[in-house]
Amino acid sequence: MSTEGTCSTARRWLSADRDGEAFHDAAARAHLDGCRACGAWEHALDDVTRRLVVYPAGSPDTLSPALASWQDKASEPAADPELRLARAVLALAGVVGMMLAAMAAFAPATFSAGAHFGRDLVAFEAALSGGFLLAAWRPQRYGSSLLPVAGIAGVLTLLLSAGDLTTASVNLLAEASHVPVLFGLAGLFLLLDAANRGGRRWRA
Amino acid sequence: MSTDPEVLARRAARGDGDAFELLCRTLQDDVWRYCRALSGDHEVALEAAQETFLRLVSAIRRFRGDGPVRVFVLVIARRAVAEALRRELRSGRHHPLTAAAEPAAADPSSAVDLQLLLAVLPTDLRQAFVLTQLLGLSYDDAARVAGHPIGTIRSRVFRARQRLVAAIDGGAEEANDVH
Repeated sequence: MSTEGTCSTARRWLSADRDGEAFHDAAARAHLDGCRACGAWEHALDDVTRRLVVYPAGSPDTLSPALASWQDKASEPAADPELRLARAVLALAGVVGMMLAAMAAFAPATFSAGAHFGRDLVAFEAALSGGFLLAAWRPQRYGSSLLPVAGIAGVLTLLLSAGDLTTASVNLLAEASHVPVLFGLAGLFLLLDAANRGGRRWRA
Repeated sequence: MSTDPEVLARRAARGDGDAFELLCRTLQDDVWRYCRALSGDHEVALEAAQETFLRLVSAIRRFRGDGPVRVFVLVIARRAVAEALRRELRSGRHHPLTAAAEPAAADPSSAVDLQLLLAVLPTDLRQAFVLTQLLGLSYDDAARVAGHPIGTIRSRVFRARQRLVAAIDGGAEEANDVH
């Protein structure tokens, strides 16, 4: 091996040895002890190490946002009964809505009460139910964005159902499909109330 | 309360806010040094370090103690730095500051010298050097943080030292990189 190669190998070993990451190597140690250039390199390495000791350790404040976020999460009381109720109602509305939509989609004869429950409405029903499930899962993230759509759907459902009742063209099974929408809307209002009481904001 | 980071991490993972805060304070300097050295930019480092701890709020719940919590957090920091740098580069605002912007140390001239020298190391060498020398991680832990084999860390630490020694010697000795 060339001298340069030996120096390089010995210095590489020394670097790892200084970090406690090398096995004992008598040949490398002997070379370092006998080579003036490597001896100088070892001293220079000590100088680098000495400078590390005085490397500034002070850190600016990098914790405030995280600690505030932790507090927010902690004050987001998973145990808040109203929040739990809201999430449960939303989850129930979502699951029942999905089931009714699936039944209507795959067994249209059961619900073929005219245009009241067409396939396009099945898709809407499924989408709205999916939204309720998402709001139950992540209330702060999805609750606010779902409220306008669910609100319009709920109001229209009530108005149209009232119209059906007055004309006596009521199919009870079809009317049952409105229940998840109304339940979901109620769940969203419960969420809103819980958020307002907790001083939290829904994410825009 | 115990100040052992591993104990604090397990308690924080169970939702203990006091343990979380103490854990963050314990790791704050390490994360800052790592972000500062890796990014070479005070503002990017600040953004990345804050983002690291913000992510830790959620991530700590996934901590199972399979490895040191410091490694767990520094992996988050590495990703945060990479993302912060990408954002800065996209916006064209990336202007690395000089080391003089850092707070004064006990021996300012030596400290600033070293910061300047570190700043000119290639990122891969600087990362390996900072992890093992400034933060005191083992090569194995540094390899996990950096996402490279341990042999790569060993080699990069050596090459970083070669360059630093050569630079401190004022160029008297060539930085004969051995790859």
